[in-house]
Parts: sequence; structure tokens; C-alpha cells
Amino acid sequence: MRKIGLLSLAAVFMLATFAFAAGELVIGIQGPETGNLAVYGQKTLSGAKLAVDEINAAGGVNGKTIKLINYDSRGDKAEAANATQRLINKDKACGIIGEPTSGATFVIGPIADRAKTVLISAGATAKGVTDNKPFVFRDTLLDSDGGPATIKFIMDKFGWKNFALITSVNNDYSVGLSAIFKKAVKDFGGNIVVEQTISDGDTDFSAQITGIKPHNPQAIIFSGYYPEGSLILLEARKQGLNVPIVGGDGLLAPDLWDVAKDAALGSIVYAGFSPEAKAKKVQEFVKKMETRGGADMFSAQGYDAVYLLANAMKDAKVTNCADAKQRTAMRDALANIPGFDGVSGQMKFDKEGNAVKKPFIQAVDKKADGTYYFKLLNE
Amino acid sequence: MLEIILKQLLNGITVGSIYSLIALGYTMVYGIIKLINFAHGDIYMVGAFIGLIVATQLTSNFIVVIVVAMALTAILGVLVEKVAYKPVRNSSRISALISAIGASIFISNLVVLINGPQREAYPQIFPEINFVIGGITISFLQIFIILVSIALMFGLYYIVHNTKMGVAMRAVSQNMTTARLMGINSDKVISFTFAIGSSLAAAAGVLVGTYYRAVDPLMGLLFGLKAFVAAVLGGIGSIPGAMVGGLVLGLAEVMGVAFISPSFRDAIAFGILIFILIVKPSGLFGKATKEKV
Repeated sequence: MRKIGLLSLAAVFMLATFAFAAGELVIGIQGPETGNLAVYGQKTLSGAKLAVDEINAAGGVNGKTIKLINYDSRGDKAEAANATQRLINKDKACGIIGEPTSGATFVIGPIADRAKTVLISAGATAKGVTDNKPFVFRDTLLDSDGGPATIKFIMDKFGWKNFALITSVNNDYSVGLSAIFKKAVKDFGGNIVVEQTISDGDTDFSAQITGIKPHNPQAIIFSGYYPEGSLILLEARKQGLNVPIVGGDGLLAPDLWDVAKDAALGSIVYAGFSPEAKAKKVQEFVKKMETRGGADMFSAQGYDAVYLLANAMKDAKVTNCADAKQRTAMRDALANIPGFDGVSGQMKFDKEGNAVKKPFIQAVDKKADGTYYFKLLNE
Repeated sequence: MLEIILKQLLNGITVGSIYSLIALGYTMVYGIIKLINFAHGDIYMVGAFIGLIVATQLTSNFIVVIVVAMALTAILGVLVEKVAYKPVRNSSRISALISAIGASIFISNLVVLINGPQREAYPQIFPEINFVIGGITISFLQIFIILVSIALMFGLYYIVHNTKMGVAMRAVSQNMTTARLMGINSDKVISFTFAIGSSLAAAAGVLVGTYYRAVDPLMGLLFGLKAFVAAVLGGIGSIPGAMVGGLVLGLAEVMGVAFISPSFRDAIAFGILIFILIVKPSGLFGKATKEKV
């Protein structure tokens, strides 16, 4: 009895493996679906799912359907490494969409690279994530692209020349971004007239704003996150300094106006996605995502990552991902994509596998009914 | 440059007067029952949230907001005393301290549970009016906060020195057993002390809300610790000491941020604590005033 059971089980497995080999190409995706970064992983996953559903509905790739296998890394680096091993060795994934955070991508990038399996991070922004790893890519907007483009844009459009710069000294993101902003202002002929520093978690910025005010800047560049950003805005208005703040996607959150209210109006941020973009593709995506938790930067980049992988599979005529030759061909196809028109913008890859793309520059604005939103400035 | 220094002085006095209000609660409770009420910072936070609820749901009349917040928070203060401190009053000092820390964690997490951990916007109660006097921009709100703080401190001074309850408070702080033998209901006096201290903390919470226009459930921790430093600096147990300690701390912090580095903000506060404990553990006013309330 037991033997028959085992035999039938083995038969089922064989059939399953056969079906798997015949009809499906696996794309793996992992990220924090639970834990304190859960939002990032869930959003990326929901965008990726939409893309897979669309591709399969349109007939799949190279005569096969795409199967999306997702693992929850809980934002844990060891867990992410396990999931990557599993996707490569057991699931025989053609490509992996991995980890929206930089820290975990540093861990899993080398694993995928050694196994000659393409990995696209749909969120890692730190410097060096893809360096010297031919199989590792990312489709996020980098601060080194977003910062300078935003400075150039506002200097051209508004004629601003003099900026104050506020850095949060205990925040790596802020310190890094401030250096980028500072160089950009100098490169484009503007001036940083005064520099101030804060710490994340502070609430009293009266001393800093008092220090900035006599220099009459046309805008305050703040490279930190929104909780401090909103309080800086309030403090500036309180001291009669009516200038906007300019920052990165660390400021991109509704909490900015939830706290600062009208003081937030005119604040300028850049990001890798805007649901306001008029492009037909973007509007369709926003509409389709309505029933899947809403469109945002992470879902857009997850969605684009799937299409990037699918395009590369098509170009390399991938039919069997267990074959390292095919996976290498797929990698080459991805690296040489001449230009990809995603919902998170036009992009191509540089020689290290970083997406080169344009930021969506947005300003806080108010609709007639009193609700605030990010208005897209550059389109 | 002079203008900036004067403006920074004003910034420092504004922050300092808020520290003073909170420090008074620490110092009074310590004066009476020799207990450092570590839940005091969280009581201050609850005061700010009660003010927020009144201001958004009922009326944005400042008098109503601050009075309701002070009254309800006074009740909370008494409740905390009854639940967390009274049962351990005759136990070792360490039990009372642990109980205080427990009460602090309980209150802040309760608010996180009800409200969520995020920062809440405070409604704008006063329009932003700035006066320019001799080239210096002075905001109405800063002057208002300083005046309200001074008024509350004088109110407290009056209660302690000119009322029957004040006399009782001073008597209990000198010697609880003797005071009891003289017919003073020490339980009542202790409750009253918690009520007064908590309502001053609530006033500070409302002022912080109107000044920074945002409150969050964990704001009590650091602000409370700073106010504790202010109380120690002034000489814990001394009312004038708490007032002066708060001002000195506020000024030192803002000047440090403005002219050294904001990274030193907390280092300055706790550096002062360490310095004072080494050099003059009794604090600035610790010896000068014999009276402790």
C-alpha cells in the first residue's frame, strides 16, 4: 500500500516537472511582505503580479506562460539569501525581482551573479549595489540622476540661484543626497548661501531657521525625510520665511501636508513615478492598479521589472531556464535593451546595470476641494 | 549678527519656559515624596493630545483648550499616583522607580495603540503674527508662550505660599510623619501635588502643540528627560530652581544648536546633567532654599 502511494507520488512529481518544463518560465520575486518594511514588498509584488497576468493573457513569452513565484524575506537578509538560493536551485527561475531595499540587495546580488541568474532590484538606491556584478540590475531612479535633474529643472524654470541646504546628520540617505545636491547647485551655477544641519527625531528647528533667514535663499534644499520636512516648513512660515523646500523622495508622503498643511504648498520633490503622468501607459496602469492596492513608485517599478525580464527572454529566445547559456543570453539581451518605455519612465541600463532614467519632478498643490496632491511639473 | 543672537535668545527662552513648566512637576513630586515621577513626560504628552482633541473636535478657543487639557490631565496625574505609586509608597525606592518607568511605558503605548505611532498635526490656534522691533522679528506666539508660562508659574507660587493647601504641601515636604501628626491629610496633599504638576505639564503640552504644530505619542520621552535635567540643574525639590533650570537648559540647547552643531542638542542637555551631578549635586538652588515643595 505504502509502495503504491510512493509510486503515485513520484508519478505526480514527474508529471509536474514535465508540465513545468514544457509550459512555464519562472520569474522569482522576493521582498518584505511582512514586517516593518512590508509595504515596499507588497506593493512591488502587486505591480509584478499585474504585469505577469497581462503577459500571460497576451499569450506569454516564446510560447510559454510566465509563472511568478514569490517568497517573503521579511526584510531579513539571511531570509533573502535563502529565498534567492531556493529560486535559483529549486524553482529554476529565469530571473529574480529582488529586494526593494539596498541592504538585502547587497547580500543577494552576489548569489544571483555567481549562479548566472539575472536579478533586478525594483527599489535599491544605494551606491554600488550593481557594481562588478554583470547579472545584477536595478530599475529604480538613482539619487545621482534625480538630484541634479531636479536642481537644473528648478533653476531653469523658476530662475532660482540661491539656496539654503539642510542636512540631517544622523541619516545616511540625507548626508549622501546633500552631497549630490551641493555639487549640482555648483555645477549649474547656483549658490548654497547657508548650510544648516539637523538630526532625525528633532522637533525644534527654530535655531536653524533663524540662522537661514538673514541669507534670503529662494528655496531650502532639505535632503532628509518627511517628518522633519513638515516641521521645517512650519517653522519657516512661523518666522516669516516663505520659501519652498526641495528634496528627494524621502519627502514624498502625504504626511508632509497632513502636518504642514498649506505650508507644504509649493514644496518640490522628485521620485521614480507619478500617477499624475499623462502618458497613456501610466494612466492605464493607475486604473488597473485601483483594484490591486493602488499605484505607487514600488508597484510601478515591480511592474516594469517583469516587463524588462519578459522582453529580455523574448529577445534571447529563452525556453529553458535550467540552461546557463540561455540565462547568459538573457542577461546580454537585458543589458543591451536599446530603450524601454515603462510606467516609471523611459530607461536604459548603463554598463553597471543601473537604470538611467528621468525623475518625475513634482510639487505639492491643492485641488479646488481642498485636498492636497503632488502635481507633476516636468512632462 | 547681534540680531541673530537676540533672536536665538528668544528661541531659547521659548523652549526653556516650556521645559520649566514640565520641570515643576518633577520637582514638586520629588519635594513631597522623594520620587522621580518618570511618567511625567508621558503625562505631558497626554495633555498635548487632550488639547489636540479639544481643539479639533470642540473649539479652537485657546483658553478652553488649555483649561480642559489641564483639568483632565490633572485627573490622570492623580490616577497614576493612586495606581502606580501609592501601593509602593512604603517599599524601597527602587520599586517606586520601576513602577514609574512601567507607568511611563504603559501610557505612551496606550496612546500609540489608540492613535497609532504617527505624528498628528495640531490646529493653528493663533494666526502667525510677527512684530519687527529694531530689525528683530519677534513672533507673537513666542511672546505668548513665555507670558503664559510665567503666569502659570506665578499661579503655582501663589498656591504654594498663600493657600492652606500650600502650607500643607510645604509641611508634608519637610516631614510627612510630623505633618500627619499635626492633622494634615498627607494622601490628599500628595494627590493635589500630582494634580498641579500634571496640569502644568498639560499646559506645556498644549503650548508645544501650538508652537511646533505637531505632536506624537513618543514626544514625552525625550522632552520629559530634558525637563528632568532642568529640575536637577535647578536643584530638584526647588520651585524657583525648576524655573531657572528650564530656562538655562533651553538657552544652552538653542545656542549650542545655533553656534556649535545640532548633533550636540541632546549631548548638551545630558552633559549638563552629568556636569551638575559631579560639581554641585544639589543643583543651582538646592542649598539656597531650605523649603522643598
